[in-house]
Amino acid sequence: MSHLRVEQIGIRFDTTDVLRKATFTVDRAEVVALLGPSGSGKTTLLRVIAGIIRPDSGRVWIGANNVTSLPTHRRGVGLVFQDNQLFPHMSTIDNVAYALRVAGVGKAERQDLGAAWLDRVGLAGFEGRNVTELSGGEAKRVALARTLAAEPSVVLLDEPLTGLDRELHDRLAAQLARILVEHSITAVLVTHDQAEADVIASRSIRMDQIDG
Amino acid sequence: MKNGERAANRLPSRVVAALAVGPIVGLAVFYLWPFATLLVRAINGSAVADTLRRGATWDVAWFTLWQAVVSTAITMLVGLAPAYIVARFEFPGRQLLVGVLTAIFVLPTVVMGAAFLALLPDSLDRTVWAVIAAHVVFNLAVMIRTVGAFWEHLPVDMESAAATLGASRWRVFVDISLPLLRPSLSAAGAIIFLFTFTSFGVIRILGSAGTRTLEVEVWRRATQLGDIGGAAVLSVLQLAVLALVVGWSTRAQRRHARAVDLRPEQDRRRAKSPGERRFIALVAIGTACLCIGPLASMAIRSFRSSSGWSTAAWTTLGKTEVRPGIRLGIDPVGALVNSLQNAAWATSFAVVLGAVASLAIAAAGRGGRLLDIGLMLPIGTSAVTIGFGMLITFDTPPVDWRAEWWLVPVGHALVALPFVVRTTLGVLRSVDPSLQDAAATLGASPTRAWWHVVVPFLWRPLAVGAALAAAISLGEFGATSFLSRSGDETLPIAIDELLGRTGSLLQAQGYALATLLAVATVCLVIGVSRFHDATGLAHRRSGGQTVDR
Repeated sequence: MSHLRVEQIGIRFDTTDVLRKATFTVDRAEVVALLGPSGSGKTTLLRVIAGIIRPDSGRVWIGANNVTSLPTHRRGVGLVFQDNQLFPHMSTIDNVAYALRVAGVGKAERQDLGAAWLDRVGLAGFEGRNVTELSGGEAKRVALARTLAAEPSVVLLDEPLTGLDRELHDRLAAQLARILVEHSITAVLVTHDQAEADVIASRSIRMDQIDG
Repeated sequence: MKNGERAANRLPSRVVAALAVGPIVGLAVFYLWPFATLLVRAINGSAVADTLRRGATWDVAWFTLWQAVVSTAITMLVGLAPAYIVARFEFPGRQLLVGVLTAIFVLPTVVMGAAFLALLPDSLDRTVWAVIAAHVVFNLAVMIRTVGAFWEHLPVDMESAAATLGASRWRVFVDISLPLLRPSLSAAGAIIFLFTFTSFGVIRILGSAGTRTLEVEVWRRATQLGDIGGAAVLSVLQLAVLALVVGWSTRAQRRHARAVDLRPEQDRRRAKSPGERRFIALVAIGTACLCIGPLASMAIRSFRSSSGWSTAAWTTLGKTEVRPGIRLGIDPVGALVNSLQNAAWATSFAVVLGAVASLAIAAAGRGGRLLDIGLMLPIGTSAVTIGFGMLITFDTPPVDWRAEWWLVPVGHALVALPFVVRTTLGVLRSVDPSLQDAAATLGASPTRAWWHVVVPFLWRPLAVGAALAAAISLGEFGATSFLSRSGDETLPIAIDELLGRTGSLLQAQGYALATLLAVATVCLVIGVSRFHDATGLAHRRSGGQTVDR
């Protein structure tokens, strides 16, 4: 049975249909890439899954639960934003361990867990760094570590490697693919880059295939 | 020209000097000299020791401080919710709510005092709670304009990011929004504290013997008790506290400033859920009622007499007799005429001086900075201090000008001048210097090129400045309390006197005059905002509170 099921999602902004009846499924531990040009509604669909945007029609299921009307913080869905959205008033470790803090994990334990995630994304020793002073690639990896540290049921990746130079892009894509597989993470990757989708995802679908 | 590259507009230095003479002399005579006189009076003789030794001084200082702290804290708490909904949501009536809050903020303080006097039951009148309530409503706009404006530009996605990490809405607010809003909260807190610490008009109307701020005490000692030295000491004490608060606020804003990726424009969203809709409706309607309720009460009270509903207060405004043969020395219509005359003169003074000062500053490059800073000084000085300084400076020949008709409008013009200069200077500085080059290549001398290229840009911002100056003058209370003479009362003075008397007709007349003043101010400010939109000027605060506090 599929782990994430998106059924007939429709979104209308003013008089424009951004999504009509978007429908697709993702199995547990599967990484699916959503491909499509700008304006095809990829990011909007991710935001619907995350609960940031409420759809005009359709349903989102995670496991056996209909989460369509559940608020974002109760969905267990992590989202890596295109522009990272790191919290500028927190250190790198506090960003990564934020979800643990919200979940009530003690300080010592969350520092250890956060440091372990930083290590996994290749940023060991960055704990005390100011996030506003990180390079583009470092900030991307902190954003990824922050999302994964929350151990969400589904990870959504909104063009996570956009804006990086080619060499860094390829290195991070490989690293991301490895982490997703190693941790058996169910993920949806939004990208317009077929090559990136091929490296990170196990299956690719085009927006025009799911939103007829 | 030596400074040519730095100046926004180019003009021969002798013309710049000629333009600068008037504003420099005006500033020196009517601001710097009175201010210096005040300082000298404060530190001379035994006034410092006498004043500081008195227990009453510290009672007043303590009251001033705690009511300001409480007013600021409550305003910030009450103002957060409207700031949030205005920043984040699109809902019917949003613009109207912002407009109402802004209108309240520009109302003269005596009007706000009168409105709360009309609204609150007698048991609360003349209590500190009435004062604090008026302060809170008055300053809600600071929260919307400062914190709301900042909030509007904080990335919504940062809050969404926290939500995807499991944070509830409250948690997002506490962990993410609040820390990022701190610079704007510090700024708003400092502004509200300054306004409430130097509160004058509201306290004069709503306060009593036990609820006097330093500002009111300065006025009382100077004009009622003749204790000029003591009043001067208190003025300087107040200035010292204000300087400390401004210094703290600047440091706090710098310390809490984060490299947040502020967004120029974000789409405000509509409410997603019934809960959100209820919250927005509750906050918007509650805020609107808080703002409109007191003003509506004031207008309604102007139609109340001891025997019920009556238009007597309005129809008898022109009569100075309360009963045949009995006069109280208050002439409401006379006060209206005086206020209009003062406003006309103050506007003329402020516009002429403001225009030449702006032209000089824009053409003087770095040299103009000093004049620019000098002309901003009256903003940082309370109107009471300005009026008091002028009163004790111009009281001996050959400068015994206390009886001169022009002293009140000059005081008002001094308070309004910074607003005229700020409105005008921005436009002059944005004139493309290459336009003057183009005129020069067509044979125009530098002065002629300036006249044809720069000066035509002056009129629209000056019209905005004129309306602001008129609004400021109409509501000015602090400086006028020192400078106006018996028989030449202005509207705010007449309102204060009428509301201080017993008798329902006199009270109703006070409310009627306050209603008139409120309508006049709001009309002028609406005119300003229309022009403002037309000229694309940045919003600048105006009106009563900065002026008469």
